[in-house]
Amino acid sequence: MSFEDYNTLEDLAFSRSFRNWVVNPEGPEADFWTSWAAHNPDKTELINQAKAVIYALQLNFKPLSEGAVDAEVRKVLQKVKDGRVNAVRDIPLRTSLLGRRLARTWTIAAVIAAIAIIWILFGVLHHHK
Amino acid sequence: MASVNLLDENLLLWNNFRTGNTDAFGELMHTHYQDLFNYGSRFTKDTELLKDCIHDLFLTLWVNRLTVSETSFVKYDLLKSLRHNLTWAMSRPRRQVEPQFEYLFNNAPSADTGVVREEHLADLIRKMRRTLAGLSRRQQEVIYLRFHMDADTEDIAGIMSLSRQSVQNLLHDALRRLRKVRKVIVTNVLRRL
Repeated sequence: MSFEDYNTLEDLAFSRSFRNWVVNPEGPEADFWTSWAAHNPDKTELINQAKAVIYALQLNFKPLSEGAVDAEVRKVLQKVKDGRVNAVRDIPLRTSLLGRRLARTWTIAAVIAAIAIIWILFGVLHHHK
Repeated sequence: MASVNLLDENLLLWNNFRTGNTDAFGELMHTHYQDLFNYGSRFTKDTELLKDCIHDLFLTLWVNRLTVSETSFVKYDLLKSLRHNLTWAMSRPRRQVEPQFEYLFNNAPSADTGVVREEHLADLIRKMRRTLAGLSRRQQEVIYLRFHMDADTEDIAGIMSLSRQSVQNLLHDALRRLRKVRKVIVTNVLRRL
């Protein structure tokens, strides 16, 4: 980390270290950033701006509890252990895009094959006459 | 340097998972669950639907573990797949609709965040938030991925199925608007003087 590396709003706002300091001013990155701010009085406005962006981007979002995540993970693992992994394909909503594309390709292929067979049959019949 | 170690750890986990190690698979799911849940929550408030999508995403990953790439940037692949699956789950059959990303609508940040600690920034924060709310959904999503998921331009392009140039344009325009917020305030102060 060098002192000269932070010149723009995005340099600061997207820096993990700067954000850690803003969110946790007493954290391990405090020494670096307070010193950096003191050495760059011309960047006070930029620092304030970056702080404001960081606060504005914070989400008032409750992550799932560890217990809830654990329950979800165990559900998946149980299916894997029971060998029920293919059940996922039975649910139409969740067909993968690739699956749909393949299905469409097969439909087109089948139609082309049918036309070709009819055409050949007609050709053969015509020839016999 | 810590991030390099983290990358090695993730790679080790990934390779263990690929050999069919269920413990590694469990750990892999634990590692990424909150990020997937957070990102998915930008698209839907239906947490049960979201959990179902993540569930199926992991099962699909398990089924395809032998064919997935060796050095995958797992997190961004998962985010992309989740976005994809949500698109299907949320759209009517046969009508693929771009999922609507709502940065502020779903779990809008509370007005107090940060304002309490830095009172002198309260006005600036409020203006930043208003500017952010005025960005297009795609711009909000780009900013979200850049900010909350540490994704770079290429990662974001992959997740959102956009060209790198489009992502760069969206990001530059969004940042240009956010940068202007200061200038507006400065002009207001000068006007008052």
